[in-house]
Amino acid sequence: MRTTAIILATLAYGLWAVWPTYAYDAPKATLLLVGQVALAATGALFLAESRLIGVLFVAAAWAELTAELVNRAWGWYPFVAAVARPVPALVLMTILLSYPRERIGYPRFVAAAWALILIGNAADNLTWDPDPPGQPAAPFAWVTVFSSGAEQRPGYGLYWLSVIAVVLAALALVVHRALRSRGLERRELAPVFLASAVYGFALISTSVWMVMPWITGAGDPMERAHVPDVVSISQVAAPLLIPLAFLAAAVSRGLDRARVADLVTGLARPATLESVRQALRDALADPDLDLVLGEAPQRSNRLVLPVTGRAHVLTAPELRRRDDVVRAALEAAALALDHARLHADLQEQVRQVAESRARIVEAGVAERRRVERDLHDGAQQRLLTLAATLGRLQATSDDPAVRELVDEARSGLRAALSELRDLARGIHPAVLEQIGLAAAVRGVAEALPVETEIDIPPVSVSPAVETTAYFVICEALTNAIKHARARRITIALAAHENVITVTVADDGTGGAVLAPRGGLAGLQDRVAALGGSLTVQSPADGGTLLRADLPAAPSEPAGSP
Amino acid sequence: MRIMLCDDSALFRHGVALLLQTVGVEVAGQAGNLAELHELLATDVPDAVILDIRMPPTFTDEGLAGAADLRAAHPGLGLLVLSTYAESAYARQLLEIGPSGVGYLLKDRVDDAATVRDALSRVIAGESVIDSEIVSRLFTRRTAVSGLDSLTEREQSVLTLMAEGRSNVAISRRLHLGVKTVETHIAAIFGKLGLEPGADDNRRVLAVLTWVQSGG
Repeated sequence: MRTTAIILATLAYGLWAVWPTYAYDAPKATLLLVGQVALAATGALFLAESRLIGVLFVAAAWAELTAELVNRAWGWYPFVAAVARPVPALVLMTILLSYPRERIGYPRFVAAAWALILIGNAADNLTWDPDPPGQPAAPFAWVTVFSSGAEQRPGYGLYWLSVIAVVLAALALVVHRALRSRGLERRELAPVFLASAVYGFALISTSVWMVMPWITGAGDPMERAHVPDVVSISQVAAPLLIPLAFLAAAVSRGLDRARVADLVTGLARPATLESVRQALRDALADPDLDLVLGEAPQRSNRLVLPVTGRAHVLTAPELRRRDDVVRAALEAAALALDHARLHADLQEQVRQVAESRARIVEAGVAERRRVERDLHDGAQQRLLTLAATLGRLQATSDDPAVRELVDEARSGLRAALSELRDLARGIHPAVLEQIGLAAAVRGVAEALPVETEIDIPPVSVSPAVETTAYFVICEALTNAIKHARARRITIALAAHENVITVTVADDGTGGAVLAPRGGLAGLQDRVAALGGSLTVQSPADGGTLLRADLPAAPSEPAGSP
Repeated sequence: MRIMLCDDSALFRHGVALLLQTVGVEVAGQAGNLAELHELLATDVPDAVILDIRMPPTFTDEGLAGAADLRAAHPGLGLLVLSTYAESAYARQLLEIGPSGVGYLLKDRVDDAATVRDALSRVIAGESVIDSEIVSRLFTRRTAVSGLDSLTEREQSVLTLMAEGRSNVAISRRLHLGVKTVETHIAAIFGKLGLEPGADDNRRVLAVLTWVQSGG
């Protein structure tokens, strides 16, 4: 709304101001009008971001249009126009030296330049009578000292020389700023610096052309026939570069935000401190940017910003102005660092849990082995010795009553030994270490009244895995016989790269489930503790397939040095 | 009959020694491990030794390996292995170390002096001994899975006794048959089962065990 109003007002004023120019130079008038409306539009758009710059742009446009009143008519207009003539250039210079700050840049230089140029221009215009002979006299002219051509007026020459001096000084300041700017600011301001340079040189060439007759004393530069095209065109066209440069700066700012978005998505996952640092350097265009862990470092010449509680960014102080981009970049970096830390923490925890679980499993195996050994060496040997004693008693006693009692004791002892053997085997199948998994399974299978097919190739696995595989097979065989009434059972073991797969398939009644407190559920826990999985497929119409996948970490070769 | 004992449990060793003495077997020496046994054998070789399977240093199957060494060092020495486990795999390993004179008996059998004494005299006589529990287990399974219907009842009895390692003479005595009759039965069995008829030694026992274990 405000933008439209400013543009329309500028257009209306401009049409009125340049109307007379159309009479003799329509292209120049059009270019001027379009250029100044564009400049005012730039100003209007800038009001939201920077009131100072916006107002200055609109002022520059109106001053330029006002200066064009020189062609309107005689009377007050030419005077006003003559006074306004240097104003647009002064305004643009002020803009170029100030942007992007919210206050006037180099204020003393700017004030001095304004004063020098405005006073010089006014003095020159007030001390001569511009009216050609036969025209009505101007309504002013305090002191008409000179009525001669420009080449003879001292004020004219001094004015244009001071213009050259001011422009050169302003260019020097622009170069100074360009050299001092860093990172995002340099990238953003590059088109503005370039436009400043072009505009400055256009002004200097114009000024040189204007002042030359005064120096050489030959001819009035305002004789239009002599105006070189380069001067004429640059005078009108160069200021138009400035809104374009500011447009480019705005685009550059947008790209900065896009680069931050790239930072979020482009970071390798998981990020490292180094990768986040490099991404921040790219996003904020500061190759000296540093990302450090720990306490905030004290560096007076660097801007220190916290990323997370534990990380800080050191960057160029100019970035303070680009708060939006910097904050977004820091948030992205914080996210990446947090993510990296969580990832590392999680990996470490998973590793610790896996190691601890492996230690627990191995410790469990070792403990079971110890208990089985104790049973074998202790209770079992004592009971067997007792059996030998009963054998002696039976061999030496002729008393039928004693022999009958001995027989009774012997059968009880046999049952006890058998139960003890089963118990020991259930705790730790010692035969596994002695004859291996395949033979041990065959030993179990040959005690079963069913047809079994066993395909167990020799594999190198840890005792814990081998023991678990053995128990899984035993439990599956027991279930197949006791519950499923199977007639035929197939037992297979297949070794893959990292997994050994144990399958027990029967032709029984099916419908088996992993009951929460059943024998298989207990085995499922043991399998899971090793990092494996146990599944049962048992359709109601018959057949059960039990499958255990166990990690095939090769066992340490026993007794290796 | 003179024997030696090799078992890491002194208690059990002592109990077995007393048991054997009651049935007239002289225990000429006792060893806690194979090295001690070899020392004893260096000066005095008895008729047979009784070996435990699970002994130091690894407590796995020292007895089996030890049996092979003893057979090589003292070919005439009868070897009776006493085991906690009714594992046919062990029995087969033992049978494979030589053609005759080895036995595999469950330790539980020490409650019957006659059985142990009988086993000892059989290995000393060059027969093989396979614990009847292992044999009956294999036959039970074989019967359940594919049946032994092609054999007569008598032939089944002969086959079982063959699997236990008994010689033709022993089988004839056991079944109160003439040796010739037993030999006829054996020929018939081998014909029906498709086995090579052979001498009545370990190889025959192995062949029979293999046949019983196969077929399901």
